[in-house]
Amino acid sequence: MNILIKNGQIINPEENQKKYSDIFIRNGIIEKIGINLVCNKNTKIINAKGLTITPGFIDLHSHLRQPGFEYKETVASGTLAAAKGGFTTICAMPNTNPTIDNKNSLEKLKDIILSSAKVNVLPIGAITVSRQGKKLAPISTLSNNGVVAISDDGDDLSDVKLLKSAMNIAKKSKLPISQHCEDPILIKDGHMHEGWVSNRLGLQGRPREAEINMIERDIAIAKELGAHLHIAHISTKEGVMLIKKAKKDNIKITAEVTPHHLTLTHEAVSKPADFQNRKSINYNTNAKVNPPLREDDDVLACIKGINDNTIDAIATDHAPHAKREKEIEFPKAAPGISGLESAFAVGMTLVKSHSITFEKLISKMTIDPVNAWNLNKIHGLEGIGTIIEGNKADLAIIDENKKWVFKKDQILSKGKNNPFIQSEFTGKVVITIHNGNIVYSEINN
Amino acid sequence: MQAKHNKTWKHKHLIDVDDLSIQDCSLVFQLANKYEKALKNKKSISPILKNSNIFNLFFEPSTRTRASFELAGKLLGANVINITSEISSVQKGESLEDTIKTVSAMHSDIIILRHQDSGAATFASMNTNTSIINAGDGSHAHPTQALTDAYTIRKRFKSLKNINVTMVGDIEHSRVARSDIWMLTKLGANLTICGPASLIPKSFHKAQNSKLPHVQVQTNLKKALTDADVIIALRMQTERQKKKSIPSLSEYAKRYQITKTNLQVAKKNCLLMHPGPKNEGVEISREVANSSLSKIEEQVANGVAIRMSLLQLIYTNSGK
Repeated sequence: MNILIKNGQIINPEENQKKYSDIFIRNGIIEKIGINLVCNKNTKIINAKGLTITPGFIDLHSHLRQPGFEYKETVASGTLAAAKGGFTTICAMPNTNPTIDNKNSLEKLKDIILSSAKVNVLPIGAITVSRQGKKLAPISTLSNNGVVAISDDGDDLSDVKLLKSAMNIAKKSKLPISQHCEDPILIKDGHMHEGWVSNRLGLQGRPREAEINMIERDIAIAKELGAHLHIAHISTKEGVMLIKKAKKDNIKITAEVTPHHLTLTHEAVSKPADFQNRKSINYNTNAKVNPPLREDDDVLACIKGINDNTIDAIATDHAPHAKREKEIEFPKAAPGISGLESAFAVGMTLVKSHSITFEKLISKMTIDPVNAWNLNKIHGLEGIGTIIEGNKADLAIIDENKKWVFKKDQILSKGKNNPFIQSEFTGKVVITIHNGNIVYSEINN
Repeated sequence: MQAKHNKTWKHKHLIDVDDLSIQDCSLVFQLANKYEKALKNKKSISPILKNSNIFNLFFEPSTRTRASFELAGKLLGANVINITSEISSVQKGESLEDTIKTVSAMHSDIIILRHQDSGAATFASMNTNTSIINAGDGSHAHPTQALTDAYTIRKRFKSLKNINVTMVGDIEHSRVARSDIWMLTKLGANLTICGPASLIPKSFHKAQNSKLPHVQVQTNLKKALTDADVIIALRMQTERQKKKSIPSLSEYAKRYQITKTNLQVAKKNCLLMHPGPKNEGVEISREVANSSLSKIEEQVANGVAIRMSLLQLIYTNSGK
């Protein structure tokens, strides 16, 4: 099917331009961008007057859980959630069962993606076998078979010697190494940020030093070896400063931050619930996440990092869990937020509060993550993150002014664990187009 | 003694002391005072909780709290059922949510919950219509102990206003410390917390942190005890410290044990308290623990009266 999108405002972050134009899509490709385009009767026309068209979003960090944890999420359900959130390309973390740590499991995952994914899914390989931090996975082989990065995410790779070897191989394979920076000894038995809230709730803390120490160490090694270090889900102001300095020193380093670390603090864990006769501090497991939500200064530093480009990408760290893993005693609850469907709207709260511009938000969800990992150098992904003629048609169509409430029963992901449930948002993705197909739409015209 | 439906008490559950207003606390103390006298004078107590079902649901070992609740319930005429994790389906892997729902289904009026996870009582209260009384959850809260401690201090000094209270020991892991800190500061006491730096949460040091009660932090025992009216020694929670906080109990005792010598800087006739169970000869020297300063046994007796008071207030306001 061919599609003609009429009268939308196109934002192409790479060129930093805004223009009103029509877009004609034929056979999945953007054939023409221009004014007053006409079409034949076999074309679906989308009236985008008053709407904004951006490149489809790109997520460097999501957990799709398949294979092994299909009760939490599948490639099918996760990519449906992605499409609803405006994402057309998402990178999948390898902490599945089996782990994506060898050619065989990678090929099986690719088969699942081929048969069930609604949007692009780019696999990330594990750094070590079974993510145990003991023995290196065959990184070159994984690279030759299509992983876009390597990571033991969920855990820090604390063995320095292994990390060095991994970085040497990753450098040769031109792969970024995405590190979850939290010192395992310092965070042992910790369930949230160490601060006044953890103290009040009697919960063991995960101190900020756990992140700072590991970022510092990893930067030192990356500097020595010249490998591409990617800091996943940065959460501390000190961490942002370290990355800023490393970039200044021309170390090959990139970084991402999540929507929740840009907007929430540890106080979200104690958000009062509205059930009868309860004034005591609540234990909100939907705000339990690793690294933990921190303090106001940290949130401000992360926003500043977005604005001065210390931080390259906004990434969701989409981490769906089943009800029984979240609606239990706080210390037993699994960490993580199911974030693909709220990411853009949460980002819009920063636009509305004038913390970042709309264009900055779009850049950090499209072209900047592409450039961070050189995704447009991958065969088949040329032009990704931009809107130009000849590109595959991956687009998000946005109603910037739409007011809506994020409701639990409307979440498409199997994971309903999200601290923004019942939040009122302004701005919503209303249509997502991937390879010229409408993969999500909530308008009829 | 009369059963009075008290309209000023509005709490279905008791999760922690920060739910309670100063007026609520006074109400608990007044009623506890009546019960304390009735018990002392062996007066008959009217069975206000007759035909009610109280479940003691204990997932952690306990002597005094469990016995105290059981006795309080029985004195008020309730049916008291004891369930401990060793004899329950928890051993078979039953979740807390299911256990709470199962117990609720047995016409329970009040569940008294002791659990190893911080937040367990909050979680339980969200999953049942039965009243929950928190008898200790992880390192979070132990409200009935805090009310007992406040009551014990109040009996001596009439009011807690400007009373110097020094708490010594493992603040970090102690639920008693947390509830006591909120309770005693709310009632106007000047609170000093003392112990090895590794056992005092960092956030208490930060004076700018207005969301925590104001307390003095002191790592020097002698300074902490100077002019103290009340000293509360806390148990070293070796099971929660996991051997990473202090070198050994004897090292701790050398620097932080309450002894006759270091009590000399405190006010004469100060109160010495310990929520129990004590590590024998660690937190408090044997000599002092057995001296007339010690209110440890009185705390236990007061605990029964406080729990009777709470059971009545919660039961008569749960719509039954």
